[in-house]
Amino acid sequence: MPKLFDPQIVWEGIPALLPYLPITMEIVLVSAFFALVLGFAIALVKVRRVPVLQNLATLYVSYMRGTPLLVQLYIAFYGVPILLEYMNRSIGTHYSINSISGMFFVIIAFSLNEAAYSSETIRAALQAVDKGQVEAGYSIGLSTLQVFRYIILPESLKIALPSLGNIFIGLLKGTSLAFVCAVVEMTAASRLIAGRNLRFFEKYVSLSLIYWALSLISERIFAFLEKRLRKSDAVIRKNEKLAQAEAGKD
Amino acid sequence: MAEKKILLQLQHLNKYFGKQHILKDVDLTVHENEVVSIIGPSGAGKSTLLRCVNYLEKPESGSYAFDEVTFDAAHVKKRDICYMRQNTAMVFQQFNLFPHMTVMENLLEAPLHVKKQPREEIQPYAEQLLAKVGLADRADYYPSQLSGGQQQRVAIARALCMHPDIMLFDEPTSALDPELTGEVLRTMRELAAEHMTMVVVTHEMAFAREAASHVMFMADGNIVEQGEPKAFFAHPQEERTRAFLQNML
Repeated sequence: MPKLFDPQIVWEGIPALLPYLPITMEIVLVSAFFALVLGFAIALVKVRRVPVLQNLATLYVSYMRGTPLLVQLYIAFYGVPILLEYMNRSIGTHYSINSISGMFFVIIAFSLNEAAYSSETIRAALQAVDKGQVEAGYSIGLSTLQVFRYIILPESLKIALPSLGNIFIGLLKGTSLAFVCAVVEMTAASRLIAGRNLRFFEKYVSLSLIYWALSLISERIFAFLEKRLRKSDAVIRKNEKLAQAEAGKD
Repeated sequence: MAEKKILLQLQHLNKYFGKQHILKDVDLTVHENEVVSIIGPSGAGKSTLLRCVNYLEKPESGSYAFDEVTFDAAHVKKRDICYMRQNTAMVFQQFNLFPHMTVMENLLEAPLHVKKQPREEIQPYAEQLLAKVGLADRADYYPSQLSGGQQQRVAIARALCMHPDIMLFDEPTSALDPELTGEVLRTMRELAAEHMTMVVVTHEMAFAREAASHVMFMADGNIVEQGEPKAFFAHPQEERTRAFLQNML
């Protein structure tokens, strides 16, 4: 009789999945990059109240946040080829639909989805910067761009970072849906490998442990970044402690 | 004081917020080395007038003459706005220091990035300014570690660091506890004594009377009355001015 649950298999199963880690990380990092760039652009459109674009951005964010990621992946998987075929037919391009890797659809879907979420975080952070500081920047002669770079950006990054960290970890976990676009990342690989010995349960436990570790590492990285950005607060705490120690001596 | 050079002259300034007419054909003339105090009830347009000088508010019409440069508010160019901002400096009611920078970084921000001066060159001057406002030992502190009065003195030092031709003060003591206003007013008096050209919107009548060389009284977007402080406070000509002063004193 084989064991019902074999912890040994869980441990031994982890190395078999690690070769697929780079694929997961590729989806995460590339999508996070595009999501940040696009999210930032959307946030700027909203903050600056650019006519027309502003309304489009609102519609886009609403749709992306109001539909499941899994469904969006399906739409990318079936919709992008239709779009390309349409382009081929109408403007005479020659994109071969079959040569597009599943990775392409996955990265498009994740980037667009995460951009919607991060744009709201970034928008809120940009708007949270005190207007008085912006005016002070202008009053000493800084240009609009300089005010943005030296005053709004550092302040709003500090505000946005914790939420961006959460979105990043959400994205990391969301990559497990990529198999629907025929991308074999860690989750899809688990299924395939487990199919060989039918030890599905152990395999998924190994998989979950890897995700958990990745989330923990990401958390720590974001916590570290946050600490770096909150240098000013740290100095304040240190000085306050020193002051308390001084007071204690008397 | 007959023939003093005119440094700044704004004429026929009109400013609307929506349908509200905030500044009604207002003139502001500031001579070199002069301290102009603008007083008046809340909502009179004092701060708006001051903020029009460095274009934090954009007047709909009016003419600007500052040093050698003249331009019209209706056709203002980016270059004109930069010019006004780089040669004036403002001290705000809420201090508006940059919270993510130390006191020293606050002072160096504009010289480093606007004038592109090397740090070694300006740091000694910034230290000198901090000593002048009595905060030499606070260079590495962050704004949130300072009292309101100290923050406002840093803001004054930050403004001075750009070598402005005119300092603009927008109710600099209104957000401070009474016991802290003294230290800020003292710093401003020292500046006045050094012949810094200043325009001060204030509710501190004592400062307007003693430190200013010219007082303007504004109400409802108009300049009701102006003149040399002694005469102004002793014999106000207009009924509106008398009513205001009676309430204040």
